[in-house]
Amino acid sequence: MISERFVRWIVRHRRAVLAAIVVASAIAAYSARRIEIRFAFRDFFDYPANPELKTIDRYHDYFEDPAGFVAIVVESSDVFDHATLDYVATLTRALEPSKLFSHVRSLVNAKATRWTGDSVDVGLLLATQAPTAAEAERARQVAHDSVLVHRVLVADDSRSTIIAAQLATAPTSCSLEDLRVVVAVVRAAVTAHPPPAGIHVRITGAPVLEVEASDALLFDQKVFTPIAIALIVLALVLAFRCVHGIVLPVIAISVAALWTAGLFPLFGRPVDMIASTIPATLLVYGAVDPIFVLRRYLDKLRAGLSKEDAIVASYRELTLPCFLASFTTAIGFAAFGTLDLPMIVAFGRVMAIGVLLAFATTLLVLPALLAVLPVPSLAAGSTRLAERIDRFMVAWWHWLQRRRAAVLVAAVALFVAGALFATRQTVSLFYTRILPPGQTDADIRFVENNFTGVIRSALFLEGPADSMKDPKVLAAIARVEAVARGFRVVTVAISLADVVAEMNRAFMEGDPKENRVPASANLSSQYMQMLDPGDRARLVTEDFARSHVMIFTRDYGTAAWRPMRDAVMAAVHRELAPLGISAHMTEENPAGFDVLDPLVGQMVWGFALAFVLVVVFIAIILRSIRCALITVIPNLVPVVTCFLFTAAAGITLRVGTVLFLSVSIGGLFNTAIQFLARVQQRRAADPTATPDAIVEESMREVGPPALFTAVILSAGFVIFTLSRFPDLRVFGVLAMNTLLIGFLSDMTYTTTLTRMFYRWRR
Amino acid sequence: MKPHVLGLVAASLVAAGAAVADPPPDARAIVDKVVDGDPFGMMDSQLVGRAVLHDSKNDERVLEFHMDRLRYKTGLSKTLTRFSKPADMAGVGFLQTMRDDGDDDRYLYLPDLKKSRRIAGALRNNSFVGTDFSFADLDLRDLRESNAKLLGTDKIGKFSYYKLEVVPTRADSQYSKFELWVRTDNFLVFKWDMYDKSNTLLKTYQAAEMKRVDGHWYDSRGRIENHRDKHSTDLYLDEMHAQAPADSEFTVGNLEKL
Repeated sequence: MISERFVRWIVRHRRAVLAAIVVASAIAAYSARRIEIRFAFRDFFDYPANPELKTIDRYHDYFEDPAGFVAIVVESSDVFDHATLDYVATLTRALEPSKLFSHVRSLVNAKATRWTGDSVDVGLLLATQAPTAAEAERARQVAHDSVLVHRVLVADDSRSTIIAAQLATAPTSCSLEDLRVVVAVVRAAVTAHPPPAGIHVRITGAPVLEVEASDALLFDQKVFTPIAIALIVLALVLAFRCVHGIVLPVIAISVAALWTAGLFPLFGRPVDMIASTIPATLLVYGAVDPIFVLRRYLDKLRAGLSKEDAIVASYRELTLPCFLASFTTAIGFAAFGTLDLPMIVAFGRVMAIGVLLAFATTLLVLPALLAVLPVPSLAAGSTRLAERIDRFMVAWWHWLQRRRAAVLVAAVALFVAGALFATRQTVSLFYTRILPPGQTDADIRFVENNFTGVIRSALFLEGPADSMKDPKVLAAIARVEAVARGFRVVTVAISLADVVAEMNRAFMEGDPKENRVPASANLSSQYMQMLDPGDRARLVTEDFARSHVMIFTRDYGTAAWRPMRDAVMAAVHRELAPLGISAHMTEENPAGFDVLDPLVGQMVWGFALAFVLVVVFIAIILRSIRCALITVIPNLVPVVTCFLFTAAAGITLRVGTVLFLSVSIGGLFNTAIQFLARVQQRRAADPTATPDAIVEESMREVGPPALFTAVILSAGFVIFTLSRFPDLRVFGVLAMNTLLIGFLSDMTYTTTLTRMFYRWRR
Repeated sequence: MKPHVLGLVAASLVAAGAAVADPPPDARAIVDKVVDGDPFGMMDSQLVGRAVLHDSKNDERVLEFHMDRLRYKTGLSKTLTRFSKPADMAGVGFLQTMRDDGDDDRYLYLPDLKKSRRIAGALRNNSFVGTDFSFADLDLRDLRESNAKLLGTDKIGKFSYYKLEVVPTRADSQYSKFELWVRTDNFLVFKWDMYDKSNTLLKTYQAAEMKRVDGHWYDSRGRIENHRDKHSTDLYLDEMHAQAPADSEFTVGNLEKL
């Protein structure tokens, strides 16, 4: 066999092989220095294959990117009191000279329309920073009546206000270091001007979130990787109780992880939220093959073989199933390559390569080390725990033999329940709620509850020049906007029509009935000319051909956002299309939501595709369609169980949560492949053995390492529950459940179905 | 000895000449002169002009106007501006009377409302009909009520300019200071840098052409640029009549007449 000759060659040239591995590892370590850890919201939408990207780019050509501001929330008992206004003015002026910011908007430079009798003022909301009590009260009323100020700069209860420092460079062009500098400048300004007694300050906004989320990712890496290694060591101690059994697999998987890290920078991506799972996942997956090999090696030594013969014999029996298990795992990850989102594609590719490298190191590093090191104590591995597991396997098989029909009925019942619960599954993605809880999250929720929130959709309107001055168009915009406001998920909606209506009311001596778009096109146009060019440019282009409705929403997930989007677009079709105005729902969130929602479905289909490919591959390698089909039900059981769990727990389907499917596919098939390969080998070795005996013996041989593997893999995924990212925690729980249930399912269904449907007669 | 005597005579003549030459005017006097004649030379004139507005995408919009301006007291003027184009702005009128005993009077006439509205004082810092000039830039109060310092004299091209730093003293001014380059021969503003309260350059006006019509100098072409909003306005004076309009023209009644 090729594997036998190859392993003999490795054993013969072990020192040269080990030297080559050391050199390759050094090169990989050098390359890995270029890895950057960064969380960026733009990763979810900013990629060439996103059809929404052209619209969002065109939109940002005309209207500013709202994601690029640092928000300083100033809280006090009344933000219109002198002390607070003074403080807001101080901070505003401290930030304004910085070249990092294009604008700093706050209460002290906000403009608003108001009236006094027949006198109209569209100037500064606060003519002075030391208003009298009456002036402050009037300013409060005006602020609450102004769409550009209410919940944009001042909260409903006037107990908090925002100073918005808009980045001079678009956030999409900023590096993480740039964002760190921006946040540091704001923090330095607050430190230099500490809030007086009774005033409290929060610093938030997308740049702050990205910096803090990136730091959380870095923290996760510092926690996950050592814990993953510790868990692997613990499992290896329990499994082998010898230095060989602990050190050799750890070296093999560490080399695989290092080589993968060396290749990672070639993909041109930072370690994002998804990629942050790679090191721990790879370490635990990489431990699987060495465990099987070492276990078999010890068995062979115990059977009286010499060191070299034991190594060769182990690889002769295990190379094929290990390759098959690694290859199927790699297929599961490579299935992500069919998707569009670069962060998922890169994750899939890196993991697929990593898993194959782990197989390669099992084939290269492990035999070379086994050949170099002395033979371990033969007592190793035959521990009391192993004996108990063995007894459990025998008892379990005898129990199953008497209940085959009941076991199959249970599987059918599970699938029926899964089908019923499937109708309750919802795809719903979150934007900020994927971030770690804590002060940052609390600040976002505060902004969401008191101000606009951080999720902005924009209804980008385009028509002929001057069309946005047309009162019919403005009135239609107001009606579309009213549809959006009817949804609970919407915090604030702002449009040109609102501003024109406000002006009309002011010029009509404050008559509330006149808070509407006037019928006269000229009057609307004249009102718009009264606006400050900067404020006007935020709402309409100079040629009046393009405008937008800014719709801010709470982060209740896309399941709550989609109905609003659909209703608004239906209103657009009804109200604006007949007037020759085209409209697109755009901005970062819609651009992300519209591709991420279908992506969840694509990931589920990608899993289905990988599942089918693995089954086909098993049929080819084991040369048995029957064997391949036997693996289907045992490996669907854990998946269906997990979907039942998510539906029952109200966990929505999203990128982070369905990731467990493809991540666990290799772990799922691993035991089934090892088991069926062992059954075939046993059958070939002793054609006279009874099916019951073959199944039992295969179960006893494969069961213990499969159990250790399942425990290691599950423990590896459990560490994600320590993550500060909620989606990673759910991912960890689901992956752990899938793999543990997968082991139980294999021990129950793969054995039972093999006994019932394997072609025993030839 | 003769050469020495001649040298002494020459030196005496130079010294005497220097003694009789005009000393540079003080900064306050220069600013007052700028205000009295209007920084753009529009005082006591009847003008037809255009304001071309450019946004950051270079989309443009053109406003055409007729402006009459009368000096009714030293440093104080009355201005009536009426827009003729674009069509949706046709008939819009603005009347401003500068006061030294209180806030200026400002009235805006919108034809569709068929009556004028008094525009409140807080509007000063807002844009003048969407251009990059604020009402404050036009009422000159930030120049009128200010501390000025002459920084020197610059020669740019063929002409000499006074370089001044002017710090508005009004609490409601949106500016922390101005830097002005005033032509020494006609006291028109060639360049005007306007700094916001954070001392960041907010706007710059720069004359592109100065014309003399009937002995009266005008900034006939200039551009004001808002650096923060990336917005600019080009100002063109197409017709300049150096003829003071009648005082009776500057009434609300007249403003509301089309």
